[in-house]
Amino acid sequence: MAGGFKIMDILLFFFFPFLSLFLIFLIPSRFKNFIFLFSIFLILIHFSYFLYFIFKNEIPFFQKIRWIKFFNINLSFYIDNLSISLIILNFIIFITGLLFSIKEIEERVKEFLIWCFLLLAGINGVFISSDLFLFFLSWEFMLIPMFFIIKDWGYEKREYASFKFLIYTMTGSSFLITGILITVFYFKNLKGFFSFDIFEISKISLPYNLEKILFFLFIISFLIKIPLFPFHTWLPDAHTQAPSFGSAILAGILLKTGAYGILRIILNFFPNFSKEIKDIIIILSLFNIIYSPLMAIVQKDLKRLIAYSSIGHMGFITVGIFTFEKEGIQGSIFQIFNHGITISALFMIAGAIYKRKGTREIEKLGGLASKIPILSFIFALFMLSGIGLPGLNNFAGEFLIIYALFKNNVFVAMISLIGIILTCAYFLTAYRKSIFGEYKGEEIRDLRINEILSFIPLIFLIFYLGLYPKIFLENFKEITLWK
Amino acid sequence: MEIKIFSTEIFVFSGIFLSLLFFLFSKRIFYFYLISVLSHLISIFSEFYLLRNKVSGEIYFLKFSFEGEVLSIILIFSSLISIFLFLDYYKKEIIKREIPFLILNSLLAILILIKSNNLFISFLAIEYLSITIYSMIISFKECELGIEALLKYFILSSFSSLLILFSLSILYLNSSNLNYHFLMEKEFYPLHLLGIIFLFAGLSFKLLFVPFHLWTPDIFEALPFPFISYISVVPKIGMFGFLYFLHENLNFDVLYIGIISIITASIGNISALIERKLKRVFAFSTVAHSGYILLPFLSKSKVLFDALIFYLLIYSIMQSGIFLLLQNLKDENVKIEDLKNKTSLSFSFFSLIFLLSLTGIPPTGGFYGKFYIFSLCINEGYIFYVLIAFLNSVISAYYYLRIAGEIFKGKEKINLSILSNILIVLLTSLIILFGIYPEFINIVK
Repeated sequence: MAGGFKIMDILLFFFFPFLSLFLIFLIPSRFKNFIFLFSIFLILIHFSYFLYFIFKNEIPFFQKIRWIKFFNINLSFYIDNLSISLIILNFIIFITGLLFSIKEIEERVKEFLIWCFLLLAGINGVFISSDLFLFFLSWEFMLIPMFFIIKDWGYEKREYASFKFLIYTMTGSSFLITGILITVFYFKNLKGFFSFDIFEISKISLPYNLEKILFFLFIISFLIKIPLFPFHTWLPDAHTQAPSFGSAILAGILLKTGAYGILRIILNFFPNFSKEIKDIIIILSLFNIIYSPLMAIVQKDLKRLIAYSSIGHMGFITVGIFTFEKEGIQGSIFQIFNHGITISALFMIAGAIYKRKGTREIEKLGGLASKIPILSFIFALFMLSGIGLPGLNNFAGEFLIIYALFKNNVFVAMISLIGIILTCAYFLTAYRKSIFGEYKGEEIRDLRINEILSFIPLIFLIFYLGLYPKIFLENFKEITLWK
Repeated sequence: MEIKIFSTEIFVFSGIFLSLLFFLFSKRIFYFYLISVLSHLISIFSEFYLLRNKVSGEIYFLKFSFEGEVLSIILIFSSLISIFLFLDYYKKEIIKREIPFLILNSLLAILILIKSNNLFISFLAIEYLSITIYSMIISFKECELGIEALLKYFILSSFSSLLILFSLSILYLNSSNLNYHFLMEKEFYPLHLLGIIFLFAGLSFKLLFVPFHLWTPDIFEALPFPFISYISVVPKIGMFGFLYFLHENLNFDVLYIGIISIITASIGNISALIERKLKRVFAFSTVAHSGYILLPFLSKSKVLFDALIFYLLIYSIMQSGIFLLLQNLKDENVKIEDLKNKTSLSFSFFSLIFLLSLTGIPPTGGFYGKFYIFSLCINEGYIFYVLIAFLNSVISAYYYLRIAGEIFKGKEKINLSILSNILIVLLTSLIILFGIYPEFINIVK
């Protein structure tokens, strides 16, 4: 009986965005601000319901009900600390991002918010599903709202960027679904029945050749999402052209689904082969760590610069995972959270600057400190967090990752330290050029109240997690591979 | 045997007969519609009746089986939807009034085609079907382009019939019997192979397999949307049903079906990528879908039938749905870039769902259909084909979502008639329902 209640709980959580969507639908579209505030309120309710849910139920939470009989597909949900941290991050970025863009998104507000709720549902679905079919369903489902958010509310070259995003990620998904089908049918031929359950599948051991093929089929999709070096070219375009909210979600959460996929699926399904191939992944991540800061140094566009910095930081996360050290994986999970907060705030700041000055070119900015001091101050905080200043959040995560690297391979660790130095170089240069110096141009106003409000929780988090990382890390003490 | 086994065909035939009688007395379109719709409904019920009583057997040249009955239900259902598609065009008075009558005729032809037991009867049914489709095309009144399209269709279709007939003579030479069961009995290899190749080539014209697909864009461009919808859905279901029964009895392995299917899907999608006119894009997208539907024929398992009917049902729903929406555009021969001046918001959301389903993105029925049919091929070990087929849907995503994106920019109001509103809501909810709960189809079975 209790099980029945539990499943209702999680289903309510899963379908809440769709319910809210109907409520949004009923409001006439001329009350723009009201729709915005109301939907933020709905997401807050959703968030508090989630918090209530995790306090009420014991973690890890696992429930399933039967869905499609023929393939033995279940609506099965699994929530552990990793999912919780990512879902909390998701809600934080959604709420702050929406609060921030009240005045930025002015046309077709209702449509925009409908896409937002669908996106929220898709992303949460990825993080809570433990069934491969449901996982893939959510994985594809979050793509279409993001595509439309970039395409309809983006900047000048949005069509190109949105289609590039779509084609890259869908290509990844087609590899993923083929891999899923092969895995499932292998399982069926072995055991005699279908199963899409991640934990059941991870109990069988695959023959070497099949493991190799499946590893590539699965990981390509995740590497495109992260994105790792040769697959990264969609990201600068998509980030630059998306509206600030879109960029914040894209960098803050959507890239993390790739890392989540590696942690949850790759390491569970292919533990042997991923250890075998870890050198190649680490080398590719080193490309991310060195190459993308170098690219960032020469960028003229502020948003593009931040996009490249995001690629660089994601390199640290994959390196951390593929060290296979406890500290490395811990650090990566921590870094997933930290990077989400920092990078989405940076994109929001870039959006705020663009909205005031009408340009994102660093050369044409300059002297902003004298006109918009609050924004400049907040920018400084998040820039320092991005660099990894001790006391701010990114430091703790990167420290753990580099510690694990030193344990593993000193040479790689040294190279990744160069990456951190390069990060300093481009961030500080960009900051000096855009914020200090002499101000030219028209009068502009500082941050609005809603924008300041949206930054406050993020600022709180970067200090809190930087000074007291234990609050996060103690949840991941026993980080072993789930197998 | 009892006569009730023929009941569906008899109902359809009496519908045809009644319409002919009414031609003598009245010119009101309403009666033709009524007769046609009623005989569709009655024949659906009679099929359900046959299914429920598990009637099966063979009489003369017809066979009655579970598969045939399920296929007939789907066929009659999609034929019924397509009747309603024509309704708006009567108000504009650009098509002649025989359409419901002709639809009944082609329904009868396809029913015979999928229930036949003998290749010769199948050939006759295919000819009957072609003739009704010629008459349908010519009944479009603004027929300057229509006549050209008709001529093209006529010549190519007769050529394909010729190929089928030739193959029949070869197969007859081989086995001295055209009954399905005897086709495989004597396998004198070169003759048998030749027969199969010609038969498949002939069918390829009707089923739009590459390289016999090139007539589609021209004909699609010349005709209004309901005709396109009809031609791309109803005969195709019948033909694939026919192919399924052939596949049970003939050995298609020699033909490299996988390669044909992959090439069809890829060339269809890539050609659609380049086209700019809406109708031509949809023509090539139909070709691509033919390719997808051919792929599961690689497997001989019993699940093939389930997967096939699921995909055919979804295909007919989404194809009719999107054309039902698009026929409300004021200018039918639009380019994709010009769509933005002609659409409204609710229109956009509905068409988005159909387009996503055509692309194969969850949670729509199109995704589960693809998942289902491709999983069969994975079971047989054709990993590479499946990977390419899924990558094909990436290509198709580009053009489908380009259309969707342009539609979303539109601000003009479009007034849909009440009937098409109901139909659209019905079809959309079916698409979503089949995407979320695919086992719903078992209720039909």
